[in-house]
Amino acid sequence: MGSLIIKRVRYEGDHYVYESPELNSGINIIIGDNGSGKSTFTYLIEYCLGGYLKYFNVDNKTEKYIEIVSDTNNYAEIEVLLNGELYGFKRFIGGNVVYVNSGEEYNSFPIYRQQLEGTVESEIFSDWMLDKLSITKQELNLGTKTWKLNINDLLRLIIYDQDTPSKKIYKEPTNLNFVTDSLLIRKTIFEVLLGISSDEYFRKFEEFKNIEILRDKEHLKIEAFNERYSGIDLDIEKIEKDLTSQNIELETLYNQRDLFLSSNKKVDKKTHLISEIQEQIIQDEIELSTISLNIQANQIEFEKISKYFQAQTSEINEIEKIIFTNEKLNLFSFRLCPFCMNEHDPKENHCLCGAEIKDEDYEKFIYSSKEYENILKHKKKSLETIQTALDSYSSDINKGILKRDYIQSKIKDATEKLKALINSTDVNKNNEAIDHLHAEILELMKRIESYSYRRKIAIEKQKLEENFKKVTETYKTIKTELDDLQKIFDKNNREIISNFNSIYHDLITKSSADANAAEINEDYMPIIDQGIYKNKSAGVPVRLIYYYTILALAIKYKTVKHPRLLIIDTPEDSGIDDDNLKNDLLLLQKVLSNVNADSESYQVILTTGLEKYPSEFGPYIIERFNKKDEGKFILNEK
Amino acid sequence: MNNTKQEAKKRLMFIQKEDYNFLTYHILILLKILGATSIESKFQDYKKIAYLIQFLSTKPRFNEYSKVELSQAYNRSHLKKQLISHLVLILKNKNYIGVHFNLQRNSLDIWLIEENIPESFFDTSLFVREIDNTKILKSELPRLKVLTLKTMVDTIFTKNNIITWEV
Repeated sequence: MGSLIIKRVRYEGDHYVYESPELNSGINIIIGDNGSGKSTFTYLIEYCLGGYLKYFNVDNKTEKYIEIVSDTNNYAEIEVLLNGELYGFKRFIGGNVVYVNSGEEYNSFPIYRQQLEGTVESEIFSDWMLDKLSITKQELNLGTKTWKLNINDLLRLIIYDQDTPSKKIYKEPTNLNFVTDSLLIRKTIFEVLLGISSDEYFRKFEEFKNIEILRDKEHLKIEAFNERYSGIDLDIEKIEKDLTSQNIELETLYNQRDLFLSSNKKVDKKTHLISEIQEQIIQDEIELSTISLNIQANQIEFEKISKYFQAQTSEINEIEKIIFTNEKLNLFSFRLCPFCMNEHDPKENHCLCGAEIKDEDYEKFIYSSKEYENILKHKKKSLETIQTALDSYSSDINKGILKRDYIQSKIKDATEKLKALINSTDVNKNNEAIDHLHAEILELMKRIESYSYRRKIAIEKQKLEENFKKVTETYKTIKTELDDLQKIFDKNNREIISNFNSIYHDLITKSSADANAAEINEDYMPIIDQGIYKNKSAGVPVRLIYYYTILALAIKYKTVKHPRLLIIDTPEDSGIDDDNLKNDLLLLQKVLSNVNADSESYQVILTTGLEKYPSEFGPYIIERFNKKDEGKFILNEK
Repeated sequence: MNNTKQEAKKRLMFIQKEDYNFLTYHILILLKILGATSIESKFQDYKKIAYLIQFLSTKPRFNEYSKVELSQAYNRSHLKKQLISHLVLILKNKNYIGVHFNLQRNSLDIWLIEENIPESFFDTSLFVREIDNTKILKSELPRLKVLTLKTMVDTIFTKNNIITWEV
């Protein structure tokens, strides 16, 4: 199981800046009044973990976070301990790439799977994170849609947000639709986080799916083959038999001809046949040289383009280094003149030194990280085009070589034939019988060739059928194994679920929900007092304790995949009164002590109102905003 | 719309081999590997760098270049001289390097001020190739730090039959 602890949160743009104090493992509390930036704090974390935030989207018409959306060159950055190792995750606002800095390495990952299409890369940020957290990347099929597990999905049970109505429990997905909010997906998220969907089972499932595809492919191959050669008798035994008898016949004819040749003395004129073959050879030679020239030309082009490809690849590497240098050394800031090192007030259409200018005097030299990123993106795109060109040349070359080899062998055969003919003419004396024999031999050879071809096809067919049989057998074995695994894991899951129920029940009865019984149903949704309606504010403890319970199970069981990070953003909504809220928040301490939680092993980040936390939590406060009275807002103007 | 226009424009203007950051990391690595880290062990005559960048960023063994490639490298180096002189000023202002005026050669000597370079700049696997190239170049050009510009140009270019002119 992996662990994820947030150490620091940062924001920087041309106008605003924020840097949090260092966060601890264990409980962290951020307090503030309305609109002072408590939620922004959690948004910045979510954004760096690859989440989608409508508030940070420029195109969002109604709910833009205006300070951030209108800022420029801005990014969010978090420092995290991932399995005890320090990483920095950085993401430009509006950008779809997460830059991961591990101290030694500096990588960038796209956020969305579509960004991978046609690129050389194969991993998105989520894949990388799930790998680090030892979570198998699962794929589910819903009707015609395929859904791949994303770190974003898991955040739905890690971040308790305020936008989702409490009774829905799971944080609402980015693009709410029937697939993303389907029961199957919600169940999968729960199962994955609690480790009750075994990796082994899903690996087997994936294996099963792959073999299924392979089996279908093999089947298609056989069908295509049969269609292509329909009507041809491909009984291999019969073909072999015929071939043998024909070869014997050929042998006899040769012997006969030799006999005639040695006994006949008359002069023969075979010039006609010879000149025909010569003509053919000349034509083939001409074609051969054309093809060879073509191949050569293509090869030269190919060489050129692959050199260009290499140059382009190394340029891309260099830009990555440029970006790194730019960020580390920050040679240019738009407020500081690089030559006199004086601050200046950037004025539109004015030079660094204040004189009026044309932009082009200096903009060539000064690039922001975002602009570098943009350049990098385009270079990568052009790499794809070059790759396409390379592929097409290489395919042309291969085709040419095939054709060349064919013609070469044709010429060789014809030359041999010609030689034999010329040699034989020396001794050969004209004879009707010999001509007749030749014709017969030729005819027979043609037949033998056609039979050989048929034999080749027949062998191919046999091979295809054998393959199909083998794949089908593997398919059956894997299916049985999968079924067995499914049974085992259904059984194992019962223990964790019953543990979930016992913790959940225990906490709910002590909470403000005023309930006597609680458990989760087969869809993992809470059932309180056998399903009797509670007032709306009871939704808060019902949901909050659901998250607590998952955290507790993650601490208790090594098999649970939940990274033991819980982010609770302002739970006081839904009209819950302050005393009840404090009581419910305190239950967190109770559940943690019940599972003997070592505060090094987990992290809870709770944002709440200025007075809306139990006094016992006082020592955990690490950050305080107060916009109304003290004007302390999360983002500070530069 | 305006935004994308601006982006495209900047993209088109971008010349990788003349980018300040590109030149910067090469210079810093060069100084670091050559051990030019104090006034006593300074790198004499910064103009030499303009000729070296090509070899540091691609193939360091200049004797393996073809005549055409080498003469192209020579010509381009002249264009880089001015950029690098600006850059030296910027790096000095940022306190990343120290600069000393060399009266004898009528040029600037420079050295790296290592404590001002952000930690972790050099400990990254990112620059492995550049560092290796620098080491190779260092072995191909003995006494590179104190070599005069003319001797260096002679070794790299004139000896390989490239026509050079007064530098």
